Formats: sequence, structure tokens, C-alpha cells
Amino acid sequence: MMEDMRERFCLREREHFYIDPEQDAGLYFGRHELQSQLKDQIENSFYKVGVPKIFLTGPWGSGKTHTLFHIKHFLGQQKPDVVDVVYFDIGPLKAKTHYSHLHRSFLDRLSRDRVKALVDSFVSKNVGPGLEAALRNFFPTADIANAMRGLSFGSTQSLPAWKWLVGEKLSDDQHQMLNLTKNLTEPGELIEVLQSIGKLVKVVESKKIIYLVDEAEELDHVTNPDAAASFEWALRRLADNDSKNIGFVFAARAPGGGELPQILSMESIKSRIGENNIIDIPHLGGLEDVKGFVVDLLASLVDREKARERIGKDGLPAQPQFFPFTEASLDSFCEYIRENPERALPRAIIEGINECAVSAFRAGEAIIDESRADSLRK
Amino acid sequence: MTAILYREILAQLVTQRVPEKFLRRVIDGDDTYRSLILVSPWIDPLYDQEYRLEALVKKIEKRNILTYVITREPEERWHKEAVDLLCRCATVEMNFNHLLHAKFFVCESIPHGFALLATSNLTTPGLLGYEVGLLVEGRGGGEPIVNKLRDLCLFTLRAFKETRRVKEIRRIGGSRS
Repeated sequence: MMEDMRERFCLREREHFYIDPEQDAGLYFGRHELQSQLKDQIENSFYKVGVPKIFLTGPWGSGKTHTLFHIKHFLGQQKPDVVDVVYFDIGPLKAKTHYSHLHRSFLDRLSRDRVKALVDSFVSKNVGPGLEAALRNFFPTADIANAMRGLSFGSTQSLPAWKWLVGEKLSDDQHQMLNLTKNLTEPGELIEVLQSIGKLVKVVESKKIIYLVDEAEELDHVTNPDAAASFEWALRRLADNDSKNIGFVFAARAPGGGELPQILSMESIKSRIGENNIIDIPHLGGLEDVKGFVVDLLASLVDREKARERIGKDGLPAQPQFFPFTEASLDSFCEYIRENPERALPRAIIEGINECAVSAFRAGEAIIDESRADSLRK
Repeated sequence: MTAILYREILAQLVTQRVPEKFLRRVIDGDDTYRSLILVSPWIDPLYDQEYRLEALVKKIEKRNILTYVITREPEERWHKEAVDLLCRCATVEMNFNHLLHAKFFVCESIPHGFALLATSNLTTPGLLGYEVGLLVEGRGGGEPIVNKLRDLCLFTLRAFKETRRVKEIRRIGGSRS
């Protein structure tokens, strides 16, 4: 049988050196200080403000999505009974996109069934003549209480109630059926709905919701002043210390490093988040940083025991910790990366490793020698 | 209570022959050099000085050191000579930025790097005039400062739209020590 790349280079559970942000969420390569800073900030936030509220920035390919999934993995391991982590991509935004777009994503990602189950549970605990009062006391407005009741009760009311909660406009008849006075239009009203759901999750499941919002640089497309103001108002409310049940991590691309989308960098939001919670994922600036990243990656993807056996059996001039590179070819590869510092990003480094591996494999070679790294320069 | 760990910063104030402090350390040093960063609006060959630019170029060539230079586009003969001298090395990347005013020099090396943040250019008047610089050791609390200066050049100054790359690193193989 033909030997494939996985066997040739002793790869664990994969055919190549690529990383899947979701499947490989448990792995993290290099950047140990950043990883530990992130974990500290997240841990501290549960004591200080109840939930993490973090902005991540970094250039294209710096590993923001992988970092978000790593956070999800970390929280899933550390606090499985305390948090419900929801990842989503903010999607394309336009000049006039209102905060209601993000509100809809927040709710849709939880799902109607999930929110309905939460209300059902609340209702079952308060069933009886006091139910109406319990609903009214629990939710901040009569309209939200009525919509939640509609979501839980009657089959015909459930869908329009959900539509109202996500911010869709209902007809006068539907308003009458659900006993609602108006549509939700203001960001403050939408935030009240989201925070009500956060409160339900807290009371019913003793959990908190943490949203991981990717591609937040899309916020820079929101240029209409009213639309931008709706985001600012809503995010300011979510960033407030008294918002203790809904956490978030927004990840946004920042080409030069460090800059946030204009909406997220408004003082009213930044000052609430705090400087420590704005975390930059920069280039792997130093040659040793690049090497550390590659060595970590190889340690996770390559089966060292198999590599050791192979090196011994075939008398290969390699060491298990660098396999399938040799130490010299690894140094040469890292220098190739740093010759143009823009390449010093996880995505470009992983591309480069795969390119070396595929060309060595196709040439029938057992290791990646220095000529492979040199061939990248041509 | 949050514990705050203060790390010692090793730094030295330099007031005489400021840029020479950096040159001397690189030219005479025997560390494993990873990269050099030279950010100076003006550079001259330092012809009559003890540590000349040519000696630095020899070191760069001998050790195959990746070197990133940002300077202004030369108008004077001496500046052009210095730029040409540096561009002779395969491992030098040369960038021009007409708005450049910052002066700093970084050496990324093992066991640890260092950086000189200075008021002076890498020129003879910069050596002889009254200038001041701060030489920071890239260990302890100085490490993030040195790394930040390195990244400021590599990922900020080099990325400015006013920065024009006139020579890239072109190197096939070759080992570095």
C-alpha cells in the first residue's frame, strides 16, 4: 500500500499540518504569555464583573478565530456548569446596519427552542394564580413579560412572540393577540430583551451566556451616524458592570495591530471594558517566537514516539522534537518566515510548513531538509 | 488583592558617542544574532570613526544577520554611500520614509537582545554632538520594551504607506551563527 503523508511524517489524526480552529480548539501554539494573560483576564472577570468582557485585535491570520475557539474550549473545561458559550461570525454589515442585526444574531444563536424551554421552566416553577405577577416582576417591562408568556404558551402565539423578541415588526393584530403595545425599535429595548434572557439563563440554569463574536471589524462598515449610535448605545449597556449575566469576546482584525473598530474604540465603551481587557494578538515578532510556535505545533501534530522509531529505524538525520524538520531546516524555515516579517503570522507559517511537507513528500523524501525551506524563497 | 509583579529594567543612559554604544556592542559582540533594526533618518559611513559602518556590514555578512533599515531617501552623497554599503548585503532590507524622525536601534540576539532609543542619527555628527540615548537590556522588565521597539519597526513603521521598500532580503540558504 502507498504510504501517505500522515504515515510518512508520523502525523497524529490528520493528513496534513493544517489547523482547524474548532476541532483543534484545545491546542495553542507559542505565545504562552498571551495565553496565560487571556486565561487570567477571563478568570478574574468572573470575580470582578461576573462575566468576561474582552476585545481581541490582531492582523489577518494572527489566530483570532482559533483563539476564540480556544477560549470556548477553556471555559468548557473550567466552568462547564457556569457558562454557556456561543460562537458566531458577525456577518457582513452595511453603512446603515442597526444594532438590531446583532441583537437578532444574539437570540438566533441561542435558538427559539432554547429560550422557550427557559421560559417553560420558569413558568412551571411559578404555575398558579401568581404566575402573571411573577412574570411581570421578573421581566423589566409588561411587553417583554407578555412576549415571553406568548413564547411559552399557545402554539399560534409562539412564533410571533419570538419574532417580536428578535426585533421583527409585528402587525396590529399580532400585537393585540400577544397583548403588546409596540414594536421594539430602540437599542435600549433590545438590550432589555437580551438581558432578560440572560437573567432567565441565570435563574433557571445557574449559568451565564458568553458570546464569542468573530469578524467584528465589520463594524467599521457601519458609517451612518444613527446606526453607529445604536451599536454604541447597546454595547455600552452590555459593557456596564451591572450587566452581569451576558459576557462577550469580540475579535476584530487590526492590520497595524492594536486598533479596534471605531465603534468598539469609543471611549464610552473602552473605558467600561478597561485597558486590560483589550488584548492584542500580534505578529510573532521575534525569530524565537516563530520557532517556539513551530516547535509547539510539531509537538501537537506529530507523534513523537513514532517519529523516534522512524528516525532510529531509517537512520534519519533528525531529532524527534523537530521531526519532520531537522534542526537546521527548521532554523532555515524560521528565517525564511522572518525575512519578510509580514509572514510571521500563524496562518502564513502553517501554509509554509504544509508547502515544505507536500514538496518533500512528493519528492519521496523522509524528512524536510534545508533545500525545502530554500525552495520557498524561489 | 491583585498581586503585581514588578520586573527590574536594566537600562543605561548614554550621553557620549551615543550610536557608537550600539555599534560597538554588535561589532565586538559574540552573541547569536537573530536580527538587527536600524531606524535613523540619516545614516553616514562613519568613515573616520573607530566603529565604521563598514565594520557593521562585515558583521552582518559574516553572520548572515537579518537586518531591517528605515531611513530617509538619500539626497546627500554620504547618505547614499551608507545606503549603498548596507544594500550590498543580501540579508539587509532597505526602506525609505521621508517623514521619519524616530531614531532607535534594536539587536535581537541570544541570550537576550538590547535596544538603543536615541536622539541621535547614525551619523558622525550624531556621534560627536550633544545627544542622549537610553540603552535597554532585553531581559526582565526590559524584554517587552525591546520587543515593542522591534515590532514598532517591523509591523508599524514598515507598514506605513509613506514607507517605500527599495531592497528586500534576498538570500538562498546560508547558515547563521
